[in-house]
Amino acid sequence: MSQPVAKTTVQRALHAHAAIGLLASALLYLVCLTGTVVVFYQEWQRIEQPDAPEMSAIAPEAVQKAAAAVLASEKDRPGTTHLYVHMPVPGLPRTTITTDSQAVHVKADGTIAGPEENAWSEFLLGAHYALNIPGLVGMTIVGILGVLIVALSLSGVIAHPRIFRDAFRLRARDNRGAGLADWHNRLGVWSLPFALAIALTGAMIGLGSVGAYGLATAFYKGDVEAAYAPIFGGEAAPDPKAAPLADIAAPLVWIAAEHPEARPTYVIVHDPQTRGQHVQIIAEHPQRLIYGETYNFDADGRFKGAAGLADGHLGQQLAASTYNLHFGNYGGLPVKLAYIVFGLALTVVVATGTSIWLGKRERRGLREPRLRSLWDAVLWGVPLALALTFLVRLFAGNGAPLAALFWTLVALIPLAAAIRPRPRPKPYLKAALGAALIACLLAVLLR
Amino acid sequence: MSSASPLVWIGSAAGVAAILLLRRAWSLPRRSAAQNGAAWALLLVGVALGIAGNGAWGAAIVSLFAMGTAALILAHAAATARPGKAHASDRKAHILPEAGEPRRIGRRLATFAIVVPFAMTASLLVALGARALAALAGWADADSNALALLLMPLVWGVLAFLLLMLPGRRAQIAWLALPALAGLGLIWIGGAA
Repeated sequence: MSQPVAKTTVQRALHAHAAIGLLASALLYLVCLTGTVVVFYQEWQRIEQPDAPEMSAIAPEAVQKAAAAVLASEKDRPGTTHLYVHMPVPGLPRTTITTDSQAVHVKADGTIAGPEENAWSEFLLGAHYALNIPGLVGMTIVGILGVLIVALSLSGVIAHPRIFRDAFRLRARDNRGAGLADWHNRLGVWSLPFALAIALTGAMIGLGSVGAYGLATAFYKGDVEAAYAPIFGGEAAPDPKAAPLADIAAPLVWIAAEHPEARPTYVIVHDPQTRGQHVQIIAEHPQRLIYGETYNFDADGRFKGAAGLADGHLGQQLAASTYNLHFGNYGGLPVKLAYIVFGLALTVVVATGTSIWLGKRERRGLREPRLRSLWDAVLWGVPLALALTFLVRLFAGNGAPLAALFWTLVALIPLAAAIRPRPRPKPYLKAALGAALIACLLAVLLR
Repeated sequence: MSSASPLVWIGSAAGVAAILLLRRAWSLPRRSAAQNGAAWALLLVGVALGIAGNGAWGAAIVSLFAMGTAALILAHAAATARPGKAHASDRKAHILPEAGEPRRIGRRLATFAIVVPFAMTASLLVALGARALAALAGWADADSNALALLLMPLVWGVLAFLLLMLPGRRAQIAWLALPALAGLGLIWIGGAA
């Protein structure tokens, strides 16, 4: 049978595949795992704070009343630059107001219920989005990981000429390395469309600021906002003179009347209680990948136009579709469950990649217990650290330093494995992870 | 999801049928161009129906159904697989030095520099060049800016792969320099700020 791809090309592709995979395997694994878990971002928030008031809808007047109450409670602080109202949606039926200095839940009648407590969900999102690194550095690193997944997907297909022909053959119980390779290749080929979509959208989100700086430098005299404005809309000029709070209720009434099919997800008041304030409503459109359309209103609640994310330029629709396509929140629970399955598949593909490489070296007589134990520590230590931070959140409260704890564990577990590689840490870490997961389940059920 | 267009559900059914047909075609002792072609055509028809029904959202739903079907078939294969004794591949990937081999740290660092920072710069220039070209062709700023934001990571991913496939440094440098220079030229012609 003739070889469809030249042998040297296959060998080079394997080299490229292994080089890229090894360069970033630990971070790729961490980002894929946290990305899978964060698909349930809304559900984690409900688990963290089960007693927050929930409602299927809230009256526009109640939103107005709540926003005024939140701002009144901040009279002794510098004025917030933005006020966000998270509107109740099926996945997270809660009304929550966030300003520069606080986040509070609101009851259906517009009274403040108490502070939002979702530190673990936020930590998890931060770990996936930016490895908990503040600023743009972390996001950019995660964006680069998306680029590497694109390159890994291409090199993986070329490095395995029979990958499609064997796409349904899975020697799951072969313990001499063939089984591991089959899991890697089969899950890899069938999650390929998902992996490419996730990687590309993730890279677009993560590297968006690099691209925007480039656009700004080349075409907008260094003005980054001007580069984004044609896509997402621009910011109005601020006027810091004091003014009564903008009318928030009227825009919500307008949306209900003019776009009954759209569901408001966020109300944003820019520069509230100043003469420059204006209101934006982000509303989801059914059966669309876009995160929503942005409707703009002045301080008196008069409609001033929409950004065009729903029906404007193709580029606007494309850019607005990256977030939902990446996070899987465009079809309720069934799509989320599918994203969990494919996200796990991608995580397993990343995890088995390095294991296969280590196995090949061992079969050639290169035994490297330290390297093997280090990889064990990453594979089982990262989920263990996630589970332990969740337990700490439940028992120590919302103020626990979760990111510091997680990254300390993620550093210490491999360090311990490197210092003492024998016996292999895998069975101990697996047992610890199992115990931690059971403890998490019990802690949630018995709260 | 309940108010999705019927075309999306028909497209999803076509996607499921396409995967089942691929399963059959790939299990044949000899390659069947007819069955392979029919399966891929059915998959394309499914995606097209999804797009016709609810645009990109419909295409995404059809894709999830197709991938979900493959996942179920794989789960069945995993559940029914018998323990085997097949020997796994031990192809060398030539990533880390083996006993007696030089470490070549400088060469590895140079490869990293070419594939990561240099390829990123080249990709950014290509994306900005494409943006300039799109603007010259009369595209709206929203479309041309979104094109640049999409192209930068996409070009970088493809370029990183191609660079690692090339046999020598000269070829790598040429593959970096040519698109970068083309991008720069287009940015200059496009009247950059």
